[in-house]
Parts: sequence; C-alpha cells; structure tokens
Amino acid sequence: MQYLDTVLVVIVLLGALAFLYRLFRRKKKSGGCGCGTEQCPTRKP
Amino acid sequence: MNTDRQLSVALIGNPNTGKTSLFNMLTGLQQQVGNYAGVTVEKKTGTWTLPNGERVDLIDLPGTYNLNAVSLDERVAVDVLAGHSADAAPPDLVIVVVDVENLRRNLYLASQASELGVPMVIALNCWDVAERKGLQIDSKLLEQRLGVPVVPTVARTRRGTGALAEAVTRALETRPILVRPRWPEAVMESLEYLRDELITQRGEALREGELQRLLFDKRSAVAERLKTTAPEREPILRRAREKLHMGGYQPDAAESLLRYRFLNPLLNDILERQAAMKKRSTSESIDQLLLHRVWGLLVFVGMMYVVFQSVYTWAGPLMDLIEGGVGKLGDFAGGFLTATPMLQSLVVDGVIGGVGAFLVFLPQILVLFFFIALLEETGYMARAAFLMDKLFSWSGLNGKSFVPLLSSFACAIPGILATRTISDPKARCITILIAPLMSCSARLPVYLLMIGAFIEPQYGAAIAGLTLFAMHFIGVLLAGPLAWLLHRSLPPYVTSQPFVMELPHYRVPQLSRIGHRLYKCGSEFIIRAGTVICAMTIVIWALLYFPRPPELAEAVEATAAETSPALSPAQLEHRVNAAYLEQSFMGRFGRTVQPIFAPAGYDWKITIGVLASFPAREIIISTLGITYALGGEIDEGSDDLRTTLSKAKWESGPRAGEAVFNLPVALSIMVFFALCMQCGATVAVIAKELHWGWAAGSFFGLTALAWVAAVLTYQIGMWLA
Amino acid sequence: MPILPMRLDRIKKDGLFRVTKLDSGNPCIARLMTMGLLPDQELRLTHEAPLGDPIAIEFNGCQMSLRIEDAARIEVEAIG
Repeated sequence: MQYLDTVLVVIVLLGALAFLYRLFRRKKKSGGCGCGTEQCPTRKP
Repeated sequence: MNTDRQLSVALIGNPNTGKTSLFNMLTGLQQQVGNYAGVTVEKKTGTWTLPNGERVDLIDLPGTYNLNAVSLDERVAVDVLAGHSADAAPPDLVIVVVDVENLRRNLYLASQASELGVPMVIALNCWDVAERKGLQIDSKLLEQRLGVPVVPTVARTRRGTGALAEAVTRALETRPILVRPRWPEAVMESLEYLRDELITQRGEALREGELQRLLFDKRSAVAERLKTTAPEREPILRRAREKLHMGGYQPDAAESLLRYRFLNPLLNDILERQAAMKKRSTSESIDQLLLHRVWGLLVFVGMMYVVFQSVYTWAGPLMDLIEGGVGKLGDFAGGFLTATPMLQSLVVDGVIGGVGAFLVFLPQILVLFFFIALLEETGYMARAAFLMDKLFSWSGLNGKSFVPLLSSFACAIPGILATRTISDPKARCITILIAPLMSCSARLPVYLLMIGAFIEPQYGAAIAGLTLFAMHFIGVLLAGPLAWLLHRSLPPYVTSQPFVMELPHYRVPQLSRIGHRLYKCGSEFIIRAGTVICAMTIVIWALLYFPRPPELAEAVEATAAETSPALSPAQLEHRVNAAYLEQSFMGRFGRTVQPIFAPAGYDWKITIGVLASFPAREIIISTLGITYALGGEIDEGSDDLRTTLSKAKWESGPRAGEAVFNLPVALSIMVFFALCMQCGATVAVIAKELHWGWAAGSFFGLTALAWVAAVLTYQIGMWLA
Repeated sequence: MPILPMRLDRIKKDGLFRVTKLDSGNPCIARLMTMGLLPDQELRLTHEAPLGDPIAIEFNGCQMSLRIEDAARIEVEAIG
C-alpha cells in the first residue's frame, strides 16, 4: 500500500512539473510581444 | 475561382455598428475565439453556410474607424485584408458593416478597404433604428453609385440576413469592387515613386492599398513588415511624403481630405434627409444628466458603489457555497484515500485546498464582469472614461483605466482582463502593471488576522478600521507615482495612442451577448484553475511536505512524552506536523532566507509563510497554522491562531525569549502583503496579457518594493516604540 | 461684423461652429479627420467633463471626446 502511495504521488508530481515545464518553455521560445519592432523576436501578425 | 480550399469572408466595420451581433448570428455557435499570434487582439472565426449549401470561413476583424495601422486592431485588419496575416487566409470577400446613422464615416473605412483589392458587400446595419428615426436611405441608389451590393440588415432581429447571404453568394462569383477615388497627380507620383523603390527595386510584396498606407500614415505599421531595413526604408518613405508636400498636400491630412472629397458627392443627396433632422438625440438628452458636472459624478459614484457592493453581497452566498462544497469534497476524498496518507495529503491539502481557494473567487469575477458587460453594452463605459479622464491623464493613463483599477480591489485578475477595453497600448500596459497594487480581497484575511491579533485588542475598533483602510490606501498611494515613472521610462516601442473616444448612442443591452461574455470569462477562469494553478499548488505542497523521514516523528513523540506527557493526540500530531514542516525543503529554505527578512522583523516561520504565499496570499494563514503547531485547518477568525501568534517567542539569536509578534512586525507583515505580488495567477495573467518579461519584472519589482516598505515600517516602528 | 476665428478649447456650449483650421500633425486630430472632421465641417460642443477636460463634440451625427490640449489645435468660427 505504501508503495502504491509513493508511486501515485510521484506520478502526480512529475505530471505537474512536466506541465509547468512545457508551459514555460513554450512561452520562452516565442519570447516577444509581437509589437513588430526590430528588437522583438516575435513576428508581428 | 479557387475551389480546392474553403472560401473565406471577412467582416469589418467601425466599433458599435453591431458587427459582432451580425457575426454571432451568421455563425451561430460554430465559432472559435483565439488571439492573433503574439498580440492580444482577439481573433474570431466561424463557419457560415450560404443558401447554396457552400460553407465559408467567416472572420470577425476587430472594430476600427480606419485602416491607418496605428493601433494593434488596425494593423491586424490591414494585414488580414491584404493577405499578409499568418493566422488567417486572405479573404475572398469582405463584408463592411455600416451603421446607417454614420454612413459617411463608415464608408471611409469601406473606401480604404477597397484599396486593398478585396471584393466587397456592404451591410447597412441598424436599419430599424434609422427607420424609427425617420432616416430614409435609398440603398438601391447607393448600390449603383458605389458599385457593390448594399444590403439593409438588422443584426438583432435577423432581418436582412437572407438577402445578405444571397448578395454574398453572388458577389463571390462577380467579385465587385467599391469605386475608388481618382487621386491627383501629386499622390500618383508619390505612389509611383514608392512602387518603383519598394516593389520594383527591392522586391517587396505590397498591394496598392498598402503603398497608400505607407504614404499617408506617419508611422505606418505596414513599414515594419517590409524586408527592407528601417535605415534603408525611412529615407524612401520620407522622400515620398516630401513629394506629396511639394505637390501641395499636407501628407497627414491628404488622405482624409481627398477621400472625403471623393465620397461626399456620392453621398450628399442621399444623406440630405439626415441633415434635416439636426436636433438633439435621445442619447444627448440622457447625457445632459449623466455627463453633468455634479449629477453626472454623483450618478457615477453611486453606480460604482452598487457594482462593488454587489461584488461582495451577491457573490457572498455563492462563495460560501463553493467553500462548503470544497470542504465536503476534501472530506470525501480524504475518507476515500485513508489507505494512502501521502496521496491523501496531496489531494486534500494540496489540490483541493489550493484550487478550491482559487475557485472561490469565481462568483466575484462573474458578478463584476456582468456589470462591466452591462455598462459596456449600454454605452455607459465611454461616459465613465470621459468623466474620469482628467484624474488619470497626468500619469500617462486615461479614463478607461478607472474601471479596471477599481475592479482590482476585488481581484487583480478580472481587473487585468478588463484592461482589454483600453485601446491605448501604453496606458493598458501601465494599468496592468499597477493593478496588483490595488488591495485585492485575498489580502483581507491577512489584514483581519493581524489586526484582530495585535491592533484591535490594544487600540480598539476605531483604530482597527483605520488600519484596514490604510492598508487599502497604501497601494493607491504608491500606484500614482509608479504609473508616472512607468509613463516616463517605458521603452519607446510601447507607443502611446491619441485619446479620442466616441461616445456612442445609448443602446438597450442584449442579454444574450452579456451571457456570452460571462460564459467566456468564466470558462477561461476555470480552465486556468484546472491547469496552471493546480500544477503550482502540487509543487508547493511537495516543497512543504518532503522530505519526511519517519524517525523525525518518533523523535518528536519521544521528547513530548518526556517533557509534556499531558498532550492530547491531536496536539501531538500538530507538533509532529510542525517538526516536519521545519525541516521540509521549504522550511530549510525559509531558515536560509530568513536573514533577508530579519530587518523586517520576521522569524523563520513567518518567512516560510511569506515564501509559501507567493502562489496565493491566503496560503500564509494555513502555513502559519501549521508552523505554529496548530495544524493546517485554521481560518482568520480562529482565536487559537491569534493567541498562539501573540505568545510566540524567538527561539534563539539576540532576541531569544522576546515575543516574535509585536505591533511593528504585524504592521510590517500587512504592508508586505499589501504591496507584494504574491499571486501566481496574477503573474500568469500578466504574462498572458503582456509578455513573460513584464510578468517577471512586475513580480521582482513589486516584491522589492514590498520588502523595502516592510523593512521601513518595522524599523520606524521599532524606533518609535 | 467680421467673424473671428477661435480655438475649440475656448468655445461655449451649444452654439454651432464651423471648423476653419486643423493641425493635422497632431495624431488626435489626424484621427478625427479620418472620421470626417475637416475644414468647413459644422460642429457643436455638447459636454464638458467635470474639470473642463476632456470635452465632447458632435459632428456628422457622432459624438467624440477629445482632450483640451488637442482641442486647442483646432480653430473654429461661430455660425449660430
């Protein structure tokens, strides 16, 4: 039972971390506001 | 015609023409709402089935008065119409939604759009209002003169949509183009010069209409899309405008003058009847009261009072209900998981407790957004901005910042979302950045705890009330200068936009549209709670829970049995929990970081509370509860926590034995919470609305500000005492 | 009697005025021009905010608000 407990908690934790990592990394890749200026890495729409 | 892909039709029109109503009606519920890549301009698309069974993509472009490509909305509109948007297919046809009452101004937009070479159908909307007011417009004659189909419609009642669909079906075949002005020699020469320099020599892909934008608009956003670099293109654009100037046309004024000179003869006799009825409109009569120097302000203040009172009173019972529900769910899930204690703590204390604390705010947000939607749909919002503008203009904001900032006193998140109504990007940016300084309702539990424990017993209710007010006021006090500083120092790309605002005619709000908006903002909030908030709560829980060696519990129980054998099992459990917390990752971190907060008078337990509260302020109460060995289930009214706090003593260091909490510490904690950005959700919303850089800047900036203010409060307080 | 031009920020409420001169270099005014506020356009001052700024003007059946500093760059003459 204790084993199951640990496994479940680890799965949930890893899931949460993976979700946050994906979220933050995706944002970082765009890294701009799309304002359209030269310094801004995000293309203007 | 291109048949291998779905045809697309764009809707464009001035704000307040009923364009969105028409869009909702044509597409029904088959619509997707998103953002254009990288900007907060809302992108709405839907599917519209024409009478012949063909399905077309309908794009609802943002409402704009012109295509001068200054604001984000206008840029998006130009790019989509010219087929340069990566997010939307170039439209095969554009429907210009025109308000019959403002025909001239609305057709200016149509005329600009036609220069981009897209076939067009005109929908004369609000036909019923025009009829009621005795306006008669000969749509057949208009159609002849303009060269494109003109269909009278009433978006609210579906009138004219059949005719519109037929006209669109036919126009997709015949591809009619609106008559275009014949430009004078000077304009033609300047355009020719641009065409030669940019298209022939530099291979840019530009339509005629885009060349016009480059020529006529002082700082056209179209220029920023060119491959030609700024140092190379600027002299070309300047030269073209000089040519125009030498030809006798002021470049900034040329387009308006020439286009209206072209449009007016087409419209003058059609609009003659309109000119005859130049008396005061109903809207203007209402405004005699609502914009009055004295009465207008009183009505405004009264209205705001009702709105914010309702945020508390209407939402109160619902919030209790959600709180109760969350508690029940926690108990239920807890009972279910007794076999796996670690998972039980994760689910009950972490997920249900944390996400529940966030979801509790949903009713407040819905009530507030109901009023915002109501005020906007009726047209009052523009009046509120008009009345308040002077208060804000000195710091670079404008009247439209008022309601979002006021909303932030309930919660910064709806406040920040409400800034979408601010069209000036710089004012919007500043408003978002100062919104977290408005004291939101999540800070209230902290104030209530501290005031209840240290101020009310000593100084009485009057001083307690005053302190509560002061805590709400301190943020406002700092927000003004901060806004001014931001206004002065924001990087130049966050450009300021001129403040000209239409005061639209008052309208009876449509309940369906208000419902639609509430549904949208409510679902967004719930999705947020289920994703980001949930994940962050789990991580914080883990940091407060691990590591958890069983030897520690045994050691605590052994010492307790020796020193104080009278402890009840519950009290013993609290002690064990406290010991675990102390050496959890977060606890160790708290001890390491404590020296930073020492100048503000915090011990390591308060430091943990402060650190754990970064995802959400309310967490400090349950964290202090655990750390002071009471267990997590504590709320601010609990006398136990208050008395424990007032009895807490420094365990070691120079002040060992002295009380941890005295008046300066209590005040310092309150000031810290009043100013600090302790709200993961707000950081995430800022990141979504602006950019991650701004969110990080705002987080560190406000935290530093809070620290300085807390240290000052404590040091001055100790010096006085 | 010669008609004296005056600045839009100095006019009285409810009279009818005609635009004589506009500073098109001002971005606010450039925006108003695209909405049809051009020389010879008739307008009325309909409202003033509590501190006298901004003001609301009506022309061509629409009401626009603008700030006093921008209104000062528009010249009008009284016509009734």
